[in-house]
Amino acid sequence: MLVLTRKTGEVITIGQDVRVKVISIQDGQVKLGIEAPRELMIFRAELYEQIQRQNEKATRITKTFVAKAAGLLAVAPKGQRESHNNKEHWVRRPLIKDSNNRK
Amino acid sequence: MKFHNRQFGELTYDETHVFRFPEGIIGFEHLRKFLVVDEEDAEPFRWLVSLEDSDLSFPLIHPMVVVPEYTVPCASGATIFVVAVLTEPVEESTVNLRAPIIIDHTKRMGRQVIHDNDGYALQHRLFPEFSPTRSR
Repeated sequence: MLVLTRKTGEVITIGQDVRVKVISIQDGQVKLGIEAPRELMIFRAELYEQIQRQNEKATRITKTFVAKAAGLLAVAPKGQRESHNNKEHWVRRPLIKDSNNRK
Repeated sequence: MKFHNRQFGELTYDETHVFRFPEGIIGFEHLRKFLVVDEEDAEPFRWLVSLEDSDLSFPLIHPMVVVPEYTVPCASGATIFVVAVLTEPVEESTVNLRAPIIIDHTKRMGRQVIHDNDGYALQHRLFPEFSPTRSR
């Protein structure tokens, strides 16, 4: 790991497009300003890891389970549960598994 | 074209069904091509199915089903989903409001972003009405 020491107001650059500036240091907290291309995703590492864990959990969910949750959602006592939008592109162009389900 | 997914079996699709995710999904950055599968008995859930890994699919739901006023800035015209993390018991299931998946139909592209609003929880209960133990 590269370790650099910087003072308030100083900058490091990463590649050509990324600049990280130390805005302030106070009470053990460093405030950083980051300039980077929009398409570059920048996260607090712990947030990234939490999202990663949620995504990983989601990949283990089965169809059966989704059908169960869908059933529960259908009877759940909540007003907004009805569809809010029926203009979705893939609903009109549904991807149907197996041709015997078509139409 | 056909793709075999472990859960869904053989899926028939064409190029117009494919969404490109230039950055992948968080934690799955190597996966760039997905289908959105709409299964009848899963309504209102959808599935984001990887075209590169036959084991991988993510259940999605529109966040507005859970939080009617949910919005994502700069996503007008796009479809917004959140990942549904269903658990056992199902009543304890959550959705990840913090990292919505934005699908742009015109560009046929998708992206998982992190919402600036940290009031949106990573684990927002899908069935708040079944939450007798939570005090607020």
